[in-house]
Amino acid sequence: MSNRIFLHVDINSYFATLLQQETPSLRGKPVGVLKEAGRGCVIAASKEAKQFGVKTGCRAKDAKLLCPHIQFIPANFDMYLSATRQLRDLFLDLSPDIQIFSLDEAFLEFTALKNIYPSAYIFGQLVQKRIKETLGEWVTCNVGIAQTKILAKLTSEVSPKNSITEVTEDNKSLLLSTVNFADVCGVGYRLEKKLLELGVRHPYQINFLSQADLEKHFGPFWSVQLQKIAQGEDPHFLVHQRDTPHMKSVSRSITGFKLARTEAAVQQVIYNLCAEVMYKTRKMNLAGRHVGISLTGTSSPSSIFPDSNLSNQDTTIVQDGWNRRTHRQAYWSSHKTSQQYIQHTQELYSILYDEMASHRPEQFPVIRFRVSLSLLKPITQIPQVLWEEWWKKEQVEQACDEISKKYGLFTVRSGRLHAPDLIRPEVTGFFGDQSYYFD
Amino acid sequence: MTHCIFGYCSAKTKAMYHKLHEPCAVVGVYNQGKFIPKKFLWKNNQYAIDQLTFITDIADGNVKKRMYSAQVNGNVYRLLFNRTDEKWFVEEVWCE
Repeated sequence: MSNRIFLHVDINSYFATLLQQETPSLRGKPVGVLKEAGRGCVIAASKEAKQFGVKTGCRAKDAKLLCPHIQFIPANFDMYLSATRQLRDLFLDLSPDIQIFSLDEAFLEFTALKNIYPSAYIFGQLVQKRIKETLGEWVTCNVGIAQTKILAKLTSEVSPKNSITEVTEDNKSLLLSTVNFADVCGVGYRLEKKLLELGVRHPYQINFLSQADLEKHFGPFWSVQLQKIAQGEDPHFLVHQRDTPHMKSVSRSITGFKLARTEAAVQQVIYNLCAEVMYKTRKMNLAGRHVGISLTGTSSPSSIFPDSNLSNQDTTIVQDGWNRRTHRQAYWSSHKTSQQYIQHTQELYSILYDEMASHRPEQFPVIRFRVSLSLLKPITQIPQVLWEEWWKKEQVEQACDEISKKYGLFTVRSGRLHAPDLIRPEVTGFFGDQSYYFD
Repeated sequence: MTHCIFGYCSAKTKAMYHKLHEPCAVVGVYNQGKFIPKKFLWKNNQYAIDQLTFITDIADGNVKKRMYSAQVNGNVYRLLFNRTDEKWFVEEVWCE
C-alpha cells in the first residue's frame, strides 16, 4: 500500500441540493428533479425524497406514489455547470493535485499537504467549510479519506450525509466485505449480475476465487481489475491519466419530449445532434473517422423486423397515453469507419443519415437518438484534404465557428435547423466532456 | 397550495420558476471586487434583496451572463445580467 492519501469529495444530492440552496422554500422538503417541466423521469432526488425510497431514474408517477408530497422541479443545467466550475476553482485553491471525477465528485490528493495540515480529517473539515462558503449553507458533502481512490470513494458513498470517514488498514477489510458490488464505481449491471451468479456480492469475496476461475468467467482484463478492487487498489478507470492527449470520442444522445413521428423530424434531430458533436470536436481541434448512430422508438405489434440490427424487445410494452394501444419497443443502430477524417457537420450527417439511417429497415417513430464520432485525432496529425470544394466548405465552417465562438452556438445555422425548439448542449452528471467545458 | 401572487400561474400550477425576461434596474455595492445586488426596480416597484441564494455564471460563446438568485420577502427572483450589453432583466420568478 502506498503512502499517498486521497480525499474523495461527493456533494450530497447535487442537483436537488443546489435547487434547494437557490430556493429556500424547498429546503427540508422532498424534491424530485426532472429534466424539464412535464417530463416523466426523476433524474435526481433530494435527501428528503430519498428517505421515501425515491431514486434517480424512477418514474415521476412512481415517485408520487412513494412520496405524495414530492415537488417536481425542472433541472437547471447552467447552475450545475457553474457550481462545478466554482468547486474546481476551490479545489485547485486547496490542493495542487485534483481530479474532477464527475459533475459533483472530485478527488483531492492530500499527500503533498501533510506538512501543512495536522491531519487529513482536519483538511476534510476545511473542505466542507469552504464548500458551504462557496455554494451556500444548504450544500453538504461527504468526504472519504483513504490511501487509494477506490477506498476513499467507497467509504464516502456508503457513509451518512455530511460526514467524514477515514479508511485505515484496520477497517479496510470490513469496508470491502460489507459494501455491495453495486456501489463499486465502474462495475456495471451486467458484471454485477455475473458476479452474483458466482455468489459474489462483496469485493472482499474475490480474494477467495482462484486466478483461473476469475479468468474463466471474466477474461484476462476484468480478472485483474476485480482482484485490484478486492485488495482496495485502484482499478484502471481510477488511475488519473494526466497525459491523456485528447478526447477519444464525442457523442450526444437525447430522449425527446414526444415521439418524432415523421422522417423530417427524425432528420432534423439527427442533424441537430451532428452539429453539436461536430462543433465540440472542431473546438478541440480534432477530427474523427468512426461514426455511430442508434435510434429507439416504438413500433406497432404487426411490424416485421427482417434486419438483425433491428431488435424487437417483446418484454417492453409502451402504452400510448391517449388510446391505450400497445406498441413494442423498436431499436436500430449502426456504425461505420470512414476512410477520411470527418471535419464538417454535413459530412457527418451524410454518412449517418444518407448512408445509414435512411436505409434502416423500418421507419418507426423515434423517442431516443444517439450519434457519436470516435477514432479522434488532432487535425494537425491527419492528412490534408486537397479537394478545392472541400476547402470552400471548410472556410464556411470556420466562419460559422468564429460566429458561434463570439455569439453562441447556433447563432448561425443550417436551414435544416429552422425549427424554434433547437437541441442545445447540456451538461451530464458523468461529465465525460469536461475537457470541452474546462479548456 | 397557495395562489401565485403575480398571477402567472393558477392555483393548480405546481411550484416552479416562471419565465418573465422583463427589464429592470439594479443597484448594489462592490465588495472585494464582486458586485452584490441590493435592490432592484421592476414595474415601478422597488424590491430590497434580503439574501443572494445563488450566483450562476452562464457562457455561450463569448456572450457571458450572470444570474443572481435573489430572495425578497420569501420569494426568489432570478436577475439576469448580460455582461456584454450590460442590461438587467428579471428573468424568472419562483411561484408556488
